[in-house]
Amino acid sequence: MPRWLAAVPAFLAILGPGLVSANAGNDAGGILTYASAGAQFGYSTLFVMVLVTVALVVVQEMCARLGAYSGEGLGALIRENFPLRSGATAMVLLFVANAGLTVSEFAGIGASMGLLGVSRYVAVPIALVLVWSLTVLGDYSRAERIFLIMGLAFLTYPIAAILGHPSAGTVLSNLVWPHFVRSNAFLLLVVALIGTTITPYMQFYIASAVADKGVTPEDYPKERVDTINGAVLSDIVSIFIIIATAEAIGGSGPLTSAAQAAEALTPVAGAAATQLFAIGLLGASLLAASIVPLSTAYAIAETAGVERSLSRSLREAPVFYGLFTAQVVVGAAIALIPGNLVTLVVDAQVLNGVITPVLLTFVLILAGRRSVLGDAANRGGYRLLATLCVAVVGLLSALVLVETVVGWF
Amino acid sequence: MSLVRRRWRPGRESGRRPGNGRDPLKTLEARHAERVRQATAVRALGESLISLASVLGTTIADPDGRVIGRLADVVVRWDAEVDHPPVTAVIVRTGGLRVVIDAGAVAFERPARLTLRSAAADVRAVKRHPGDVALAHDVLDHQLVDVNGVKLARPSDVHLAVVDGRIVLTGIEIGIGALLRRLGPARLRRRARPASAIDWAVIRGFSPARPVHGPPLGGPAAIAGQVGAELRLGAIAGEVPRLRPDEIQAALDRQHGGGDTSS
Repeated sequence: MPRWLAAVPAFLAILGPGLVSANAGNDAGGILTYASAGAQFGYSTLFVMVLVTVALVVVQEMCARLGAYSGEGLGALIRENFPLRSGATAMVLLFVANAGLTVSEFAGIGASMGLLGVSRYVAVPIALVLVWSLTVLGDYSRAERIFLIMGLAFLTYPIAAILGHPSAGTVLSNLVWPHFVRSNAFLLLVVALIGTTITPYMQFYIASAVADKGVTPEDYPKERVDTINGAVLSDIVSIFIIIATAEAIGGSGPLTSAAQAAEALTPVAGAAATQLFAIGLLGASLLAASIVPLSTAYAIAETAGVERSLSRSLREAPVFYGLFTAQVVVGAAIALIPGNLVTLVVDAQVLNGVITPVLLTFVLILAGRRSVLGDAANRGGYRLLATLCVAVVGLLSALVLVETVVGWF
Repeated sequence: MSLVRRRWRPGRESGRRPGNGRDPLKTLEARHAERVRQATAVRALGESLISLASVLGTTIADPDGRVIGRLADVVVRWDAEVDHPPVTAVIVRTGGLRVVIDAGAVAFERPARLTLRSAAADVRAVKRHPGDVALAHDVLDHQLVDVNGVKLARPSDVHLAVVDGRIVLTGIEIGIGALLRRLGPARLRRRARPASAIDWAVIRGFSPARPVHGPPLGGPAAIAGQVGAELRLGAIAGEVPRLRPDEIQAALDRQHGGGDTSS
């Protein structure tokens, strides 16, 4: 066994909610947005990704901390700490936004199997049965590992990017120095990058999963490492996707198909680029197709106060698994409707744009409260950084919302 | 004051169906009589019932009608010997401050507001005493678990009743009805019905969300108000007795008749 292969079990042993939830962000919507950024604006969006990574680390860390210290997910904390009406509004928005995202995950599964030559009308139903039975009946943590390993196919992006011999100087200067392109399309893409990297389901999932795992304040330092690693690793992959696509098809304008995004892998995989891309996309989409509905199920079951845990059986937690089932079934069914699903997925992104600022404000308030976190509450410089991250992300999300709504008329 | 509730009798709800199905005719008669008795009790108790959710945030005025603040919370003292503990104090938000007013100084006024009995009510700074349970902060919307720790629901309302001028805690309400009542506009809120509540007498106390070693220091109410504190029932899921208006009325009468009620 080669040495690198021996390291795989160690890697899998440390993987936790942090790595899982952040990696679900590299799903179909994520990949296409990153590839679009590379194709349309070359390296110019790289500095945005660095800032987004900082924001993602801060936000995910706060949520994991809330889960570990309170033993509850965000749904429970919001119900206990905020007026019922604002909490209920957030839950309804999350439910609808996640329903839209679930459709796009199943559409991503269909698209990736399409690249491998399998009809989506065959692939989506099989994926539905697979995701449902692994989550509800089977050993979920094993399923999670399989999906994550498939997602490792995306590690070929860094290799492809390096094989493409980018100018190291240009890449570095784009990473550290803001390169604004004065156009509406650039602004929209920047917001899309933020929106696809920091998505409410990730925050709900990480807090609930940390609490469900029974992580205590004493265990938290380890969990924190997992959370930060997960956020940074998944964003490094995202950054290399932008670099690789910028080299391969940079300047060609917005992407029109998944096959184009696969082209960037040609330097490393040659003729097999499409297949390699498809496997990565399939793994990420399968992972997200279980994470997104799970985050809905956690959030609503916590709000209602009923049993919610992957360690409970279907009979013990009927509402939790019922919500999950309803969301995957409806998501897969809509993804099977013939025709173009792009507009529907865009509308789901808009809803995420509405809920992100609201949710992040809740998280910021909760993480700053000594009554919730005690001595682990945000303090001093970290508090300032967290506020800044939330303010910028919230403002940009609100901006794209206005932009989209204006566009409807 | 005892800290551990001993009075809860698990078999209490087994006698719920009168007649026990032996003689069909007798059963019907008994059921009818039971229904009439319940309906009468519901009416009687309904008259004095206060829904905590509907009074929270309402203004509190002194006898001259001057508004002194808004109701922020209602406090009872944990006592396992008392099934339906009297309210000991209310917390009022006035300006940017939260102050405590003794329950003796406030009166309930239909349909849903509290008033001060005299303009010179004693006002103190908020301080939590051992055994204090702040109903809005510690009970409303908090996790309710059964005796085995199985998560059941979150109380969407807390029921109080006025008995001879005193406000006592009678039960907690779970379910979508109470939730919708709170989500809807205040004007359309239907009055809470006593039959939809869980008797407070069934509540064992508060327990931490994560198991700790040994009994909690300071008794069943010591961790009330802590993040993640769960409200624990003395029954198992599926056998949670709903509040029976006639029993609660009788219990309230007994409690009132037997004890010293001046405060």
